[in-house]
Amino acid sequence: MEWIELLFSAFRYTFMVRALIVGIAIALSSSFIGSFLVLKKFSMIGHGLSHVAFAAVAIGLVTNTAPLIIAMPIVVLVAIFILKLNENAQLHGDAAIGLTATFAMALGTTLASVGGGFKVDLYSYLFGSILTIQQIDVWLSIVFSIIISLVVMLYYHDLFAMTYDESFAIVSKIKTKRLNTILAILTGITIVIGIRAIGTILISSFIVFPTVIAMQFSKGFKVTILIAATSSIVTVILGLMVSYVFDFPSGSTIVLLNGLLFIVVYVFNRILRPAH
Amino acid sequence: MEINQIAVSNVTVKYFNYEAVIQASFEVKPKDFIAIIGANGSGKTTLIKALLGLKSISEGTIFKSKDLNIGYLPQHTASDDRHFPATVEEIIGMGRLSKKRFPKRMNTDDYLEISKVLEYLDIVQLRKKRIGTLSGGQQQRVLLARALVCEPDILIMDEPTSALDQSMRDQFFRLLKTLNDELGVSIILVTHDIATAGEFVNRVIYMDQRIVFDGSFEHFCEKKNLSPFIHTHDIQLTKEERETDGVD
Repeated sequence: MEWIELLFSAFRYTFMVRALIVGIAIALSSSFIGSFLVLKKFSMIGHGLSHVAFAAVAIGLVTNTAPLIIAMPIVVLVAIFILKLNENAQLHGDAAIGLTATFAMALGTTLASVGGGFKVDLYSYLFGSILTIQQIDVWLSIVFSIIISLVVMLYYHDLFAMTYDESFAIVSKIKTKRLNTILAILTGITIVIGIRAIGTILISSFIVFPTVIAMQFSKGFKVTILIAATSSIVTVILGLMVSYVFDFPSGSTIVLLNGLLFIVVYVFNRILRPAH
Repeated sequence: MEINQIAVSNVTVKYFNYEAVIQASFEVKPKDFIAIIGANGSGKTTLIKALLGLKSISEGTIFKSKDLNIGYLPQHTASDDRHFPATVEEIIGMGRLSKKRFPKRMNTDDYLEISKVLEYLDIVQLRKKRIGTLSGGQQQRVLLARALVCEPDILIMDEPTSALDQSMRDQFFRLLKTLNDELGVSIILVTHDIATAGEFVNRVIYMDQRIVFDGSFEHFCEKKNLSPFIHTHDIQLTKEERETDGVD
């Protein structure tokens, strides 16, 4: 049982406890939001916004402003911008995300090149570093994950109706435009609170993996969300333990665990339960 | 005097500069069973979308009586994702919750109402199944249950039988007729299958961007000038067959 002790010994350190709290908060928020985004076939917005977060962090470092304070409004505004482009049918969702993501990445890279001195800092935001998590990040992630969870719980039925059948939702007088905007804002917030621990490159996987894993098991929507949140929290805890023991980067370890879990449940479903 | 549930007056609907529906006017009275027909691109679906508030109108007015409860049945399940994780009960519950105020919650009465509708449509055994695992006919019944569970005054449907085979279509139209007769639900449906629908509807609206014809199915069959546009040959055959069979 030495290895179990070794795994749990990770949380004797303050920075690991902070990483655990932030990780669970991100897991909860991103799996709640992700369930709607994945099933609306709009999950790539997370990927696009993570690139925007990279550019925003670069702007913060160039202007010597706290990167997360700069990133929050920029990412949220771009989330709304992508949504509006999509709604107005001037550009389909994936095209709007594609051009925004590449533009943001180019801007971030150019700024990194101009302000050569902060490349190391920018690298930590690219792949995340649990060592850089501050007490303020812990509080921010707790507050925002509570807000996101409350919004999803209160508007669950409207969000579900909109995700399954947007026309039906409109006929039922559900304010779909307002809900889509709320969803985009919450996605932006989730991305920003996750970039310190997980990094801009990997944070979008928190939106996609848990829902896709849960969909392999569940028949119902509510159960899917609950399984997604549970699997996401478990992989965060396990990922942090493994990364501590083997000295792996925490963000990529968590994402790898999600990938492995997906392969296991997918194979289980297709091979062992083909009729499912 | 019967009050119109819906009154459409000189409605024009445009997609940019293209007029999909031009100066359409008609009324829907309680217990009407109306089939909207016409060739592809004749504006049928656009007109339905305008009635449902899914497409804004460029000119004219659409009057709906106060507190009119509209049920909507799409062409097929809205999500074409076979793996969409939603049970039949969750989908039907969506209809029950659609008329509730924030914060929406399901209660015992809602579950009882879902049970009643499931029994009425003979799909009780599907309650806990994932929607994507059902056949086209079963999915259409589930969507009908979702529309019925909110106790609508009027059902509006866009080609509800397009994914069904002929025997399922007959069965589906028979079910709609029962709803129309027993529950007094008015029905408006867009269909290409006037040969089957004609037996059940009390009005046919024929569109070619404008409303070209609005009257009974029998009267429509007599209008030879409409034959180039729609399957009149099939209709005549069916009518003759029905007369031979002594149905009329």
